[in-house]
Amino acid sequence: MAFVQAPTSLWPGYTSDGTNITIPIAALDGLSAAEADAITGDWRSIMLSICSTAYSHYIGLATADRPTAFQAGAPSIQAVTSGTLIDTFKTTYSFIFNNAYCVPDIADEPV
Amino acid sequence: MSNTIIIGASSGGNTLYLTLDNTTAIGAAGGTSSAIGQALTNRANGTAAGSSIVLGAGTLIGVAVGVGDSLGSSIVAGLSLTNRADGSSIGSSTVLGSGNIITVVLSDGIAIGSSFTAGISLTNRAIGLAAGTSLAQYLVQFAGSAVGTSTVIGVADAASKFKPLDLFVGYSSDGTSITIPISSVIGLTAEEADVTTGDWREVLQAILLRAVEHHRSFTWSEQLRTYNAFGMNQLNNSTYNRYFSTTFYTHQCGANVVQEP
Repeated sequence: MAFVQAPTSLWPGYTSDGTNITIPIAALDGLSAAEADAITGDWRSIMLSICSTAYSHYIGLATADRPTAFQAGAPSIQAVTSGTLIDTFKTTYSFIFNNAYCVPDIADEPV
Repeated sequence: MSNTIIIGASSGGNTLYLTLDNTTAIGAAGGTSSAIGQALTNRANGTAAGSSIVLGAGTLIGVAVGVGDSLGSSIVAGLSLTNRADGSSIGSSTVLGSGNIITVVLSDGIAIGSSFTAGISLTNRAIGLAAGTSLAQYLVQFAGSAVGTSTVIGVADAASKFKPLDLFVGYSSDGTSITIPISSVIGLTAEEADVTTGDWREVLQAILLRAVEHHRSFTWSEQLRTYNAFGMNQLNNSTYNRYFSTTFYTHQCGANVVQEP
């Protein structure tokens, strides 16, 4: 089998109507309905779930089925042993995308 | 969507200073400082005796209220000021969010909860005082997190800092799925998002780009301790490699040992 790029391979149940994308909460690692709430939820949790899901999906693919233009590194997890965040874990997800070269635009001059 | 400060009328003899630092940004965003001053003047002069307004060089607006009923009316002026900072005429929440500081000093130990009903709201939301607590202290509110978005600097203040709608404009969730407008992420097209012919890498990259952008929009005072997002581009022959590093401070995961091979 080769790499499958359809969004449903990463997020089963994913849909798009051309204006929005919709992802089932169940397709996102560890995300709860409460965390996903638009107002009372937490976008950090959503991003954590998205990153975790992407990594899990990538690492779960057979080598031959992995994309070459995208790599997910193993998350770096460090215990925090001091400071105000003591007893938490600093967890870093890393992704690399190989994009096609394009001619960039000049940045606006600062005012 | 306006912030409301309502302070009752029975607060004679007390003094309220409302100081808005760094109002240059507010003025620059949607009007002029004099417009704010005008609004304050109108309100304060409406019913008040002993009211005064100090507009200092466009960077400091001070409202000093003297006696009697003027206090109530001047607070209405405060309402007006808030609305303007929040609304369309002068500035926007994003302007206030850029690191300006609103400092409200209420002297004389006026009890919140009596005549300063709305002061309660403001205080509680900004510094977490319980209702009825004296407001004889500084209220420092790093605007943006509240002024302009939620009704007051508010309950929603803590929550609003992380609410998904801030990350993805138009985001919604029905408790079963999350829906993200394509236009709220960066560089994603309808074709790339297509359920069968699209590419999840494009969708993921667009989401990560938006997360980095959102993180970079925080002012120094708004920076989170529990989240960091970083993106970097590097040209490598014919490809343009984009690296993303997203850090979370998390609680310990479940302690389930993996299966023996």
